[in-house]
Amino acid sequence: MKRILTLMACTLLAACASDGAGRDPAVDSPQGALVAAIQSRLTSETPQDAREVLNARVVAGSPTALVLVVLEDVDAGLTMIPAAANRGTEQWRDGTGGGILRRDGVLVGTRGLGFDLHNAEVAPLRRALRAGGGRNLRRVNLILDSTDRIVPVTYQCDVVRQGGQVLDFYGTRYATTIYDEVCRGAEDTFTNRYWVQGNGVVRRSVERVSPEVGNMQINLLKP
Amino acid sequence: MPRRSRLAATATAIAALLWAPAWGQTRSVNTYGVPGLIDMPSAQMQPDGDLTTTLSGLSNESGRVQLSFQITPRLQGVFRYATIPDFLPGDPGEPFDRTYDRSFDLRYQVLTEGRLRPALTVGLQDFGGTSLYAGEYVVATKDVGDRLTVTGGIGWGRFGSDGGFDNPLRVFGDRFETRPEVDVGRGGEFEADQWFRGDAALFAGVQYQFSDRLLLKAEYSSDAYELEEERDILDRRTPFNFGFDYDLRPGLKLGGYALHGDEVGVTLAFTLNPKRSAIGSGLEGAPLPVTIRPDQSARPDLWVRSWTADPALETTIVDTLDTLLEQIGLQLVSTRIEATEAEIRFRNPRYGSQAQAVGRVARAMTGALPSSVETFIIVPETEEGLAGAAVILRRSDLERQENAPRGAASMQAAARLVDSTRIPGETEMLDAAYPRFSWALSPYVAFSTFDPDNPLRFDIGAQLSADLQPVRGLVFSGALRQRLVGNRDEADRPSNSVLPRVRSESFLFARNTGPFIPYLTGAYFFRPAESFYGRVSAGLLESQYGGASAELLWAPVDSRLAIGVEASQVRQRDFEMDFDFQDLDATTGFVSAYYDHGNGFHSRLDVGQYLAGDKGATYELTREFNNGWRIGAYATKTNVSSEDFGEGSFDKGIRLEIPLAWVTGRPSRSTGNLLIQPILRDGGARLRLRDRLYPKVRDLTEPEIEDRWGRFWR
Repeated sequence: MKRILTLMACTLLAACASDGAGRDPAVDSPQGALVAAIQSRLTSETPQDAREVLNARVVAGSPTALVLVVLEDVDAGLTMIPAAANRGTEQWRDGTGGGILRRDGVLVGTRGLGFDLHNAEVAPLRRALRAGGGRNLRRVNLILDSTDRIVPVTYQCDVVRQGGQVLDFYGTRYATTIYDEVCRGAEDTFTNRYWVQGNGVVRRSVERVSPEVGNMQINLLKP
Repeated sequence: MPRRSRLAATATAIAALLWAPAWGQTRSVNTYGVPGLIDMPSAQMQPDGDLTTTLSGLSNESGRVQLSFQITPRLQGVFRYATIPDFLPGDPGEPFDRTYDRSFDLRYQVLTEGRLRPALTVGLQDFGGTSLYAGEYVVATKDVGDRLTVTGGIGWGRFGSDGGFDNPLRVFGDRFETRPEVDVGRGGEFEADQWFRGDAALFAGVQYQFSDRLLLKAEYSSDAYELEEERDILDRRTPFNFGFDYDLRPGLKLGGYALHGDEVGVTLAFTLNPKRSAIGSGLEGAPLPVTIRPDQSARPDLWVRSWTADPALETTIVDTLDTLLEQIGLQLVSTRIEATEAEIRFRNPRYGSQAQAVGRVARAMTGALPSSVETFIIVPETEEGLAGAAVILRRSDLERQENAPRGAASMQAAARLVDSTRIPGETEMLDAAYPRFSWALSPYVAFSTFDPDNPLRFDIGAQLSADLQPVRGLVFSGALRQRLVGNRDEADRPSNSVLPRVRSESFLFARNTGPFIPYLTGAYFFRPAESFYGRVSAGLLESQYGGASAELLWAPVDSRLAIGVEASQVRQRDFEMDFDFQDLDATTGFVSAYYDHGNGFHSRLDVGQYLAGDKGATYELTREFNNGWRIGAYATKTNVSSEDFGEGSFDKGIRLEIPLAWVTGRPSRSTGNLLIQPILRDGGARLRLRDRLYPKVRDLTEPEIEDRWGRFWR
């Protein structure tokens, strides 16, 4: 009983500080972080999956552009809206600050996943999607590693047309052409898939973020 | 409690799944904590940076805890704490006592494994302790196919005690023929006259990878366990040992073994690697985007400079900046805003990487400053108000490089870093910047280690701390602690020191069960000139000493070298740790040099007078990783003889610092610190000052900022 009381006391202590301290004692001391982690495990709720609440009315009523992002390895869906665009790269955000970067509809960055894609050189891929395919295209994925170095990982990729598909996004249908991007690197290989409309808009894609995070499906619900 | 971010929750799930691949290459360790068989070592090394904690226990109640660090790809160091029952002669008529023993190993891989060539490693085991486990070896290891690994070696000392033959090294001189008797003495000396001396013996073994997780091992051991047999602790019936190793999960191995047909044992090895966080590059969300200015030819009205004539507009700009910085966890301190240039000084209590904080401030500035402001001068300050480097950026570079694939490298090339004292013009302090007051109520944990009566004691309690800064640089700090539970007060081994008892009576401080003051100080921090930093502080400087202290540090922002001078006049505090003092006065002072060798290695050399009045030097070598991990070892040698120093012969220790952000994935400047100091004696003892300058300002220098520049756009 004495130990339980002690733990309770520590739990309470870990959360007390003035605003002026500039730090959150719950995460800014090793002891506080430990207690906060336990608290988090005990009290956290699983956020609702965006796929459970999206419908045609919600999509149509969205005042901004909207994408549905699905992390396939953990089967989690969330929505993002545009935050900014600069020189052809769009920044999209979820409700709590995480986000993705897309350039001409191609994923070139993620934020908030831990093993993020920091950025990517994908100009040959973008040209190939417009040209109907391509061979031996160079892709460089830039990874921010655990020691704050940006590490370039180079792949040779083929972009191959796979046929057509009509996508149905909550009642709105889009005719698309499917392209597979098959990439081979020194350490790993992966295949991305793009559903491209006739006007060049990438309506859906399934793209590899990193070996650790796996694939991210991005659905452009409302441009 | 705020609702958790969906993305963060997802990332946490990924991290949990992922703890695995991060530790894939770790080698199976022997009972001494190094890659090897059962007792015998192999020539293999762990992956660079691996930090492995090994616990091994035998059925005869012997046990060892080992911390091994792969210092470089070919060099490994080990600290060991071992216990053997019924080993030391007790009082007449009494049974033998359990012994506790500390020791260090070093091993170097002379040859890496090739297609046909085996790896070759030379090792020194227990080279700086009591020599209980002392042995040296040269060992070769070769993989044969995908599953079989073969090891063979020659050993001396413990490794040459069974099946020994004349030392082949005697061709280099007669001195190699016999191994001098160990002069255990007080331990801690380097027994170099023992190394590779006396009889040698051969050992060998094989490892077979039975499945992805299960490794089988067998060895022919050349350790006769003479000391243990003499005391009937172990009956060595056969030189053969057998064991297995099972990967419970990546980074965690459980092993079992049968030792010499007499005992069985288990090992548990847990590995971390600073270069491989289970959280990757962190879970923080995306930063503010860069706000792009309108084209000047299209909207010339938004590029005019006449706004500087409107004081109200500047107030609005500063308020906006203050709000934006607060949103990203930073604190605006002062500003200087002109038509084409703006200088921002801020405190960074959140981000371990100053480059990341600078990047986020730069983006906030694009959102708050009029279009005519092209030059951004960004100056991070310490909590005490010290500024180091000023980072000078062009706004147009930020706009151009924000999403560029190599944008971080481009910004690094374009940025200029100069000493902030060289920036002309005065910044205007925000009203809210000073005075500052903060307080915190938090738990604390205090450890006492390596007491033979109880090797690990600890207290847990509550700490109420507060800081007051009336003006920039002047800081009053204090704390009050109350122990809640613990057993550090049980230590009762009296000091036998012949020196002034400056540390050896620490256990008497730990006996205090009432509230006590760990520190209560006033300090002033200042920049006397370019490249110089200063500090004067006075009060109850640490839990055992009060007095006055002053320090001057020379640390140019673009230099890998820094030099400091420090002097303190102190008096030992009362054991109650209130406002009273004892009669022990001390004058202590040092000249310190800090050098960044590159590749993550840092040296520190302190030369001066220690608390007990002894004079000498402390050298510390640390391997640091950009993410904040630090693993170092230090040794102090003063003019106190080994005999006067007492057990351990001289002060030495291992320092470990783990950034909280590496563990949690959340931005934080906090670290978990561990000091393994095998013996706390009076020789080579130093003040535990909280406010030394170099640790405070080093991440405000160019080498440190640039080392972590990869996070600029993070």
